[in-house]
Amino acid sequence: MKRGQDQADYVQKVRGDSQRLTQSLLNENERLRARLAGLDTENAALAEKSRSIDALVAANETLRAGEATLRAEKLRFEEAVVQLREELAAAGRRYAALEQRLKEAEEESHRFSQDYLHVEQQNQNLANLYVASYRLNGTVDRGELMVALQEIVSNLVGSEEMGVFEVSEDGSTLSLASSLGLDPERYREIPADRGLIGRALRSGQTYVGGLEPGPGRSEGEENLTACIPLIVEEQPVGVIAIFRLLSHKPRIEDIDRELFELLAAQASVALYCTRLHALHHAEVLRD
Amino acid sequence: MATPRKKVLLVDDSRTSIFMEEMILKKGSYDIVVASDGQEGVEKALAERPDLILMDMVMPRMTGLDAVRELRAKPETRHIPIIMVTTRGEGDNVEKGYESGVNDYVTKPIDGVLLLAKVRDYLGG
Repeated sequence: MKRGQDQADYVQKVRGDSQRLTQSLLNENERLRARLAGLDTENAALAEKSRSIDALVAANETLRAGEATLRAEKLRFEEAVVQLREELAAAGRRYAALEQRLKEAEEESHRFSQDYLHVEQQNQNLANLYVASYRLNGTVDRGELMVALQEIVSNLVGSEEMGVFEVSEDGSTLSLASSLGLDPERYREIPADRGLIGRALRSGQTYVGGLEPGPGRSEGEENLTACIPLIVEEQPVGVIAIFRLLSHKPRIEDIDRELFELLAAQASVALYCTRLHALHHAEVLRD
Repeated sequence: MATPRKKVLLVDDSRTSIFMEEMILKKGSYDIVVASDGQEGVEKALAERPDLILMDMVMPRMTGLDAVRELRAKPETRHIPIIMVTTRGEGDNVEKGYESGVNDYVTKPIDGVLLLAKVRDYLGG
């Protein structure tokens, strides 16, 4: 009976142990399952991480390739910059050369302008002389010649106060042959040996001066600006006296002096010719 | 097609002055018409219809100022530019010219460069 009890107890014990063992195994199994699940999760996370790393590696590779491209590009840019700097320097040199040429061209243009003005002035002077000569030699009529002389003095010299005087037969006086802007009565007859007019007649030298009072200036010569002696074959035949200049004509210019020379040379002959013509005409009429 | 030449009427009783003006204007290739006093100037302006008139001021029969007034009063000629050519460059004389209707003025003795520049301003060429 006791043995039976012992056996029962033993079985009971074994059953209990088995149950505990089973329970323990089940618990372990459960724990392992949980652990496995955890490991699966961890594995999935690691796999995810691995994929990210792969992506990073791939991105890194791309970046490395990009960097290489950029380095190459940077190199090209640097070379381009060097080339552009050289071109810029060359362009700067070309610009400086062009600036120099422009400056030279401007200087040359200025010189040409000055030359052009000078030539134009010379042309004008020649035109004045030509016109005066043409007018003086264009007539043998005394009246017409006097008009021409007045116009030359008025339009080419710039005075509206002038007189043409002729030497009397005995040479002692100068008679007013024609005038412009003068009181004819005052200048009708003046001594041939006095004042600046007399001096110009005697010396055969054209007088050109200012209006300042000075030695040798006689009454009536207060405003005398120029006096041109008229001489034919070394014989004085008269003078052209020019008094005040027009208000906008400040002084006698070089061209005026040339005109005076022309008048001295040609007006005297022209005046002489008109006398001869008048004498001839009178003779023709008498015959 | 060639551009028709511009016509300039010179009004002056001085042959010297006319001769001088002709020589200056030859450089500009203009057709020149000449009148020797104000009255003839008005008649020539009406007949010839110039593009520009150079008008002396002191002339027989009709002065330059009277001629300018008459030209400005006529519809056929009132538009024609007139340059007064005068020996008297004083302010009041020039003022009278402008009042009568001139567009511009030059003084005698004529500065050829200046005259040609003014004529070119009005006519080109």
